[in-house]
Amino acid sequence: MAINLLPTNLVAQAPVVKFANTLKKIVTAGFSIFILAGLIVGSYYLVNYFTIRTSLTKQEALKTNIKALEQTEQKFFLTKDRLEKIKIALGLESADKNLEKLEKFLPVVSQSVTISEAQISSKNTEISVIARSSDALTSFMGNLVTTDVFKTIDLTSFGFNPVNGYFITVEVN
Amino acid sequence: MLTPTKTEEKFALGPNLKTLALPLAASAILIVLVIVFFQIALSKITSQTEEIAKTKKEENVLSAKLSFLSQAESQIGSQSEALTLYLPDKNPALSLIAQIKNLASPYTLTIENIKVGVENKESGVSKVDINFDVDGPTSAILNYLKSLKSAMPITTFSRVKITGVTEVVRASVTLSGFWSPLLTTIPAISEPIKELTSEEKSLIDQIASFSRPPFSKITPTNPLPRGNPFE
Repeated sequence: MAINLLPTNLVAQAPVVKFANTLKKIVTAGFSIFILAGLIVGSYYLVNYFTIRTSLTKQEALKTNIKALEQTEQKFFLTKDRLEKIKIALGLESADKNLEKLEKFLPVVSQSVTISEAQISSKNTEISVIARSSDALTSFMGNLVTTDVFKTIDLTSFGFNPVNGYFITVEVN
Repeated sequence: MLTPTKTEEKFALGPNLKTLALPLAASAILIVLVIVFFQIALSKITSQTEEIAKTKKEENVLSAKLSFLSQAESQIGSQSEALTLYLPDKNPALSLIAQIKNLASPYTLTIENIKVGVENKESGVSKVDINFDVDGPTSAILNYLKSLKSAMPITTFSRVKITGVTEVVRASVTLSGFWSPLLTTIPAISEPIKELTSEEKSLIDQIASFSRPPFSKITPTNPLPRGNPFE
């Protein structure tokens, strides 16, 4: 049995020595885990680095191919731009819709009435009609209502002349 | 036996502390290293992940753009040409007058009093009004006006006034023509392409079927040799 000749005040206490040994083991394990984690993180970093580099190389190749199709690209953007502007122009206020409505309505107008004037604007259509008889006038008014072409019909003037018959003006929309 | 002096005793580390010094310092170093390393690693990996997402996105945009352009190469040329004829980059008054006269001949209509108005700009497109009178039967005039709508360049009717009680009536028409300058810049190469919608495609097909103006570009001719009036 070994005899400790050192004075007791120069030797560390047993629980302290035990704690120090445990701490040493923990630190050693910690360093090992730290190095392992460092390696994993480093590898992950490298993998990501090469992924980015590959993607950038691919992008450069794609850009070169796109540049070869530059004329097609320009034409495509020109097409897009023209379409946008065409939509603007077609969307502006015009008499087109009212003209279409009148085109739909005119074939149903009977021969007994004469359309003396038709003014088509972006807001409405003004139709002046001469009807020889009241029957012709009734039929014209009936057609205006039944054809379902116009949403609103305003009778703006009404006149009668024994020679020519009835003169009416309607504002339709 | 040597005994420590009073000063040495005061500054000497105790045996407990001596035993603990090395493990404690090592653990402090480990903690500092872990904190510093993970902070740097975390920021690097976060920025790398963001960069990967960005580059992948750009790569996808570019491949989509390339495949779209390769497929569209054959069609896009004729489409853009038709659209540029329909909405030209310069005042189309001359082409419009030519169309007004040309399209009237199949219906044997008489065109008179053609007047070109002043140019004005409306929400991104320039506009010019052309006034003219057309004489003929009502049905022929209406068909003629319809044919103007399906002709190039683009037109809209501002006002139409049809007068007359006989077979032959007169229509006083105010037609609007439009134009807009061409694009001077195209978006960056990495910008994604917004493909044409089905509505836009059908509009292009419709426009492509419209009758083209008799001339789209007036090319200057070389001066002709002058004839000798005395021969």
